[in-house]
Amino acid sequence: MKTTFDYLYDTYHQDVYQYIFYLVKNHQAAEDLIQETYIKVLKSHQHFRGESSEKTWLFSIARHTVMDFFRKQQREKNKWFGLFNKEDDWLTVQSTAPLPEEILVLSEEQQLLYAQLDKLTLDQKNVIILRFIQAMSIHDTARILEWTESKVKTTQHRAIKKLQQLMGDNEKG
Amino acid sequence: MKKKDEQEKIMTRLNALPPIKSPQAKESLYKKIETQLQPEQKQPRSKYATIFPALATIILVVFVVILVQNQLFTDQASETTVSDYAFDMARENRGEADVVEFSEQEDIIMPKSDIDLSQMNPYQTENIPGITGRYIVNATDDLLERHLVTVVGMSDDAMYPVPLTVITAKEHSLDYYNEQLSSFQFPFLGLTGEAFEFGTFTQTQAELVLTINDLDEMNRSVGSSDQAAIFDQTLRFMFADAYESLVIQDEVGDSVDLGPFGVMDRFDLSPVQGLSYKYLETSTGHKLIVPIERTVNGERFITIDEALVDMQEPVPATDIQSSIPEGVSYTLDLSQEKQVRLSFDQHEVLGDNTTTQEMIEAILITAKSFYFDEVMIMIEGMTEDRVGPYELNKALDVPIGINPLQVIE
Repeated sequence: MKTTFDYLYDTYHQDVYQYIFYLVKNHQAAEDLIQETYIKVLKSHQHFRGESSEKTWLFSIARHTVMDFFRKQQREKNKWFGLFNKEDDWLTVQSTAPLPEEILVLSEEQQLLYAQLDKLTLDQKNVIILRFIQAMSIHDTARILEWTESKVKTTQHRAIKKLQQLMGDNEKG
Repeated sequence: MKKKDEQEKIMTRLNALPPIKSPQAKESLYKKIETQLQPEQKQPRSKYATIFPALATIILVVFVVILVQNQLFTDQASETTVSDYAFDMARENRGEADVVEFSEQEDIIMPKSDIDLSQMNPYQTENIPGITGRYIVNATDDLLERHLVTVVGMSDDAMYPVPLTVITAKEHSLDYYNEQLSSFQFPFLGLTGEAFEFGTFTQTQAELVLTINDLDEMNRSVGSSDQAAIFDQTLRFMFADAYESLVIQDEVGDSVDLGPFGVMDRFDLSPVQGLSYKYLETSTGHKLIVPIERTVNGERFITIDEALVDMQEPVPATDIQSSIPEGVSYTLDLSQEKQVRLSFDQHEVLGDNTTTQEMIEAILITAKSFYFDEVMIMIEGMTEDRVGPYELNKALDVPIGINPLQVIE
């Protein structure tokens, strides 16, 4: 098990951690979630059949782990704040955690862009992180998200348009 | 041009967002993972671990059988309460590992005659006489003498309303609604909907009125905000065809405080239209067809072609399955008035099988929500001329209901 862990950690850890972090924007939560991801991966690594690349398989497990986390969070929230949220509301995740060091040193404009990511739906955020921050291809992004490639393209287009509008609004404001 | 440049700029900025490093050391992370994995790997399962639960289960079953027999021999004709155990037993009978926890208020009320440990589910969802579809109700002569009542629950996570069509010999009246809703056991289908236990529907001067009988009890049991959401999502599917709004009041006729909705005296029942129907697999293993009003991006469907595209998209996060298999391609023809024509290209998953029948049923009900009357399905390369009860290359009528069920009496 240690050998498999070492291999996965050395090969993919930084990328998977970064993906999870940009989704949840909280180090503590990201650490818990990557730990959970490794547990799932180590339990099923022997069953990995190589139908997708190991990297997309790992990211896919991480994505499901994060989605479960958001769903649990939403259920907790619903207990206290009600269930009125329309279908898309819960898919928008707002972060309240302090900015990480890597972001604090950025220009004001880049910090704003980082903050505006929270205003995207979770699907849009997933596409933006995978395509631009992780620099993944449309094909790999589609495999991780279990979507068609055309859906990735459409979601990416809408996300960029929304970010453009949000950044524009902020400049005007 | 300027817009395109701005979008390029956003993409460049996104590319420039920095890598974020994990603050945790590799060894400490491994130790945590190892601790969580070890109990499963190292501790051999004691033989008592299997024998004891088995014995306990046998003792409990004997105990419950004795209890049930005692109750059957008493003269009480009223309803009795079956504990959570009975529901858990039902779930065990279906071989499920996960257990839903129910609070005291969610205890299930069942008529004594329905208590049957081998078949606790009080609803028959398959092989209902007169029903030809799996997930839809097609108009047949056998149904002429019977009545259809729409009862709407919510998915377990309260994300989707799930209309059910109760097939009954009784008259469709508000009294029947009140009876059905106050005792409907949504958890048996993996749904929720307890909000209606506390309300009664009446009709006065062409207005539909929902009277909350015990507001305090209702708020204690479910929480006012949950009530409001459940009402809002489900009432439209039940009554929007017949009423534009619904009056909501407490026992003395005052408006009702529904948490974040504020103080309400009326719900607007906006029409239910333009839907994409997909499938939901619930925690109890039931598969139900569900109407979806918006895309995952929150947009409404304007035309049926948008809904058909959406029907190929599963939403794994909320257990929603696609109703048109991914990868299947088709040509849509709307040239005939009130008719949808779909020609599917040859594909390995299409044939006289369950997947194709589910697809056809979802298309039929989706077409109805866009006010079409008929659907014609063509599938290239199919030698059979029908899929289950549906003839290919012929106009099929849209259904009259979805998710048929019958109360086992």
